[in-house]
Formats: sequence, C-alpha cells, structure tokens
Amino acid sequence: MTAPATFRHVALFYDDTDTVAGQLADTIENDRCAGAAVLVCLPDVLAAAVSERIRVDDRVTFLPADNRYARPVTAMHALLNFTSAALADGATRVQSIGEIAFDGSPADDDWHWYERAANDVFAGVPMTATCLYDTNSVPPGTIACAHATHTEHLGQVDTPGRCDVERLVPRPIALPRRRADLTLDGVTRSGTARHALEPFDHLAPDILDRARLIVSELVTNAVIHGGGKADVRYWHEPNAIFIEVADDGAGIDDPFATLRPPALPVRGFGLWASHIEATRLHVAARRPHGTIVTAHVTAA
Amino acid sequence: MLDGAIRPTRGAAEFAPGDHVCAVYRSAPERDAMVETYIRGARVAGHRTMFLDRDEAPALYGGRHVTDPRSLLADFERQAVMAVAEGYGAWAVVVDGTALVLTPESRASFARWEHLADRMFRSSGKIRALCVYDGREIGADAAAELGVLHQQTLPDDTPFHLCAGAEDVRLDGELDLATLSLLDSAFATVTSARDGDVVVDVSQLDFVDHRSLHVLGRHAEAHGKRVVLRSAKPIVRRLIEAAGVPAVTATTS
Repeated sequence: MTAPATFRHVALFYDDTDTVAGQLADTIENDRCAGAAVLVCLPDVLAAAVSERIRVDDRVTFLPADNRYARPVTAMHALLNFTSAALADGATRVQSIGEIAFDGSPADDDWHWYERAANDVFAGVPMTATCLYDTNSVPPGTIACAHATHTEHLGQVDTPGRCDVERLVPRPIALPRRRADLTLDGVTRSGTARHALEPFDHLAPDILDRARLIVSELVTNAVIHGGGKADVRYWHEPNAIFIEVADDGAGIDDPFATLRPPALPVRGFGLWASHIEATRLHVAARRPHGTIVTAHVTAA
Repeated sequence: MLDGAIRPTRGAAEFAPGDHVCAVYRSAPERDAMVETYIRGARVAGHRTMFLDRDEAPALYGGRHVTDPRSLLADFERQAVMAVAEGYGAWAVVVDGTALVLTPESRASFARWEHLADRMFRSSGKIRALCVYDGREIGADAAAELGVLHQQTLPDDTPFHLCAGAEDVRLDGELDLATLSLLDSAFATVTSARDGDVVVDVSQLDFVDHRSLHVLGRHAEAHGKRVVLRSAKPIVRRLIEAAGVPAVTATTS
C-alpha cells in the first residue's frame, strides 16, 4: 500500500514527558511498519525517554534539537536533506517529530512563520510533521499560533474558536534600516559590490566572507532575474554588517521565498545560500516594482 | 617553486624555470618587444632559449599536441635535459601559437595541450615557457580562454587562473557570474585532459559563488568524476552543502 502524498502538520500538546514519550513510541512503531523514515529532534530528556521505548535502527534518525533548530532556515534545510535522502532511499513517507524551544523572545515570531511556511513548502510531500508543545512552558500566544498553523491538533488543550492565521502569524517584520555607510547604485557586476566591502575589513574575517558571498549572490540574482542591475547599501555595527540589495525586476510573489528550498534546475540557490549564511534575511517588495533583500550578518 | 603559492606579477624579463606564461599582443612591434625582453631575461639568467614563430610552431608540433601529446611533451623534456646537461640553468621556449588556435575546435585541443604542458613544465622545473597569441586574430574571448590555463598572463588582467599547482591543479582569483563561461571552458579542458578525479588547490581562490561550483560539478558529473577542493575556506564547504552541488567536495586542509 502506498501512503498518500500529502503533508500532515500535527501539533501535539503535552504536559507530561513519560506520557508523550509513550505516545510517540507508538507513533514511531506504526510509521516504521508502514515503511516511513522517522526523524526525531527533541530536547535531550524527551529524546532519551522516546529512545528507551523504541527499536533504534536505521529507520529512525535522532538529530540534536539545538543544532537543527538554530534558525528556521537551518531547520528547513535539515528537514529537506533528510526527506530527499529518505524518499530516494525507498521510504514511503517521512515522519518528522520535533520540538522548538519557544521562550517568548522575538525569535518566536520567526518560528511561528516557519510553521506557517511549512504547510506551503511541503504541500504534496509525503510527510507528517509532528510538532510538540510543552504546555507547562510554552507562552500562551504560541499555543494559539500552533492551533492556527497546524492542520491537526492532539492533546489536552482547549481549541480556541476559529484561528485567523493571517492575524496570528503575520509576515516577518523588516530588519531595521539605517543610514548607509556606503551606497552603490546600478551595480551590474557582483565583484563591484564585493570589492566595495573593503572599508569594513575591521570586521571578523568570517563575517566578511559571509557578507561577500551574500552580496554577490543577491546582486547576481538581481542581474539575472531582477532587471539587470542592483542598488546596494551597506551599514555596519561594531561587529556586524547589514547588506541591502534592491532591484527593479518583476519582484518575488512567493511570501515564503526565504524558506522555500531550491531545486534543480530552477532558481533559488542564491537566495537560499544567502539566507543560510546570514544571521537574519528579509525579503520585501520594492515600489513601484522590484525586490529588496536585507541581510544582517553577525558573528556566528 | 613547487609550493603552490601565488607569485607576484612580474614583467617579461623576470621569470623562472617552471613558469608558464601567456601574453596577448595587438601589434607586431609589441610582440617583438615582448619576445625580445623575455629572451634577453632568459639568457641573462643562463637559460638556453628557443623561439618558435607563428609559422614555425605548426610545423614543429606536427599535430602531435592532439594525436600524441605525450611524445611531444617527451621532446620538450629531452630538450630541457640536454640544456641542463650542457650547463644551462633551464630551457626557455617562446611559442607564437596563433596559427594553432584559429578555429574553436583547434583551440579546444590546443587548450588541452596547454594544460598538459602547464603541468609538465611545472613539475619538471627545467622548462619555462612564454606563449604569445595575436589578440587581433583570435579575439578577446579566445585569448582569455587560453590565458586562464597559464600560471600568469601578460597583461595581468585575467580574473582567475586554472593551472598546475601543489595538487593536480590550482584555482586563484575570483569566480562569479562574470567568469562563468570562462570557467566552463577552462574546466571542460581540465576534466577532459586528465584521468580520474580532479583535486584542486583553492588556497589562493579569493571568491567563488554557487553558480561556479555548479559548473565544476556539472563537468565532473558528465565525465563520471569527482572534484575535491583542497584548502577550502569553511564558507566554501558550507556553500557546497547549501547549494546542493553534486560531485564536488571540499576539505579545509
């Protein structure tokens, strides 16, 4: 029996580690029998409790949650890699079980957006993403967002009325825009933008390497897809730099562009690589038409 | 001289054994001055010299650079061994290759020869060569295609070099959208001219973008080979992973 190629996005609310570990162990055994590959990214205590209850073989992969959930784009990248390898290897489905460490900080909004984007990015992929929410510690706003961004809900939490995902999980806010230290208009060669980073050579070498790659990929995107030229602005902080690349092209319609994995032979690798190297990256529309990509590069 | 390090740009008078240099001229007097300076420098350094003019080179090569490059390389090596046996420091050869690269096909096969010669000159340490081409006749694109396969170009306006190095080959300079087609032809030359995987020293590579890495991967895949980038910066390794480049791996040492 072939599993349907649908994406299921499950929010699993829990308040007791042992109970949820037993529940997850049952899920994993069922998925294993159905030929699925399972990815587990959970806090150490919970991962250990689950591993004690299941057969640990090459159908189940444990990844350290801190690593995978460093940033939304790295989380997406890890899940993409796992999924393409597992499906190529003959798995019928992928079951991804994970828990993000929501803590009430502004980063939570990026994670809510990540959960929302997943529905679109993985539409049609034979995957179940089971996202755990510890109701003892997760902020109340996150519970509401989890209801809005997941298609199925399990566990002892009252479902609020209708959840307006547009209101609860709006697009990520833009990065702060400051007075530019350096402005380059109408750049047609990525080398021009890279070499213009020289005045910032007091920054750490790693920051400069990443800045060079990001501005180069973004300018190249503007040259190829965005009308042929780019306007570049740099502004810096003591140990960080902002890069803004704007073009007059057709613009990027896709609201989830920054989290959509690239695929051969279509476009997308430059933006994806830039996002992975940036600390934060934001895509906005430029008026009257075009795209503005802003990247913030801080010490890794 | 075999340390793989990039050498500072030098004028036509000051090259050493192992150097393989490309120069593009735009007039006969310019060429004559360049050749004369190079040969005088070689003589002063105690090197035996030979100049193959544009109508002499095809006759001496006799098509062997295509049909049997090994025997032609062996001839070069013999000349160098003889020169050294007679007390010279090295054998310096100047070739005007213009007549050998006038069509795309002949240029592609001569480019393969340039790559093989580049590696032999460097490893032998007894040969130094200056290859000159008439830029008016072969055009700027062809001149650049041939130039990047040398260790140095005169004038030094080549955005990168793909030449003999501490590993199989060495890449220096910057690789981005502007150099994509040049890299495409240069790497096609290198992958078709050699057997097995291609190990590239990238310690002197100042920049590479994801499109350039994909070019390396495409050629490697087409030939069933792999490309290993040695002494790569961490960002190059991460970029290979992020951009899903097939057939290319990188090591930091």
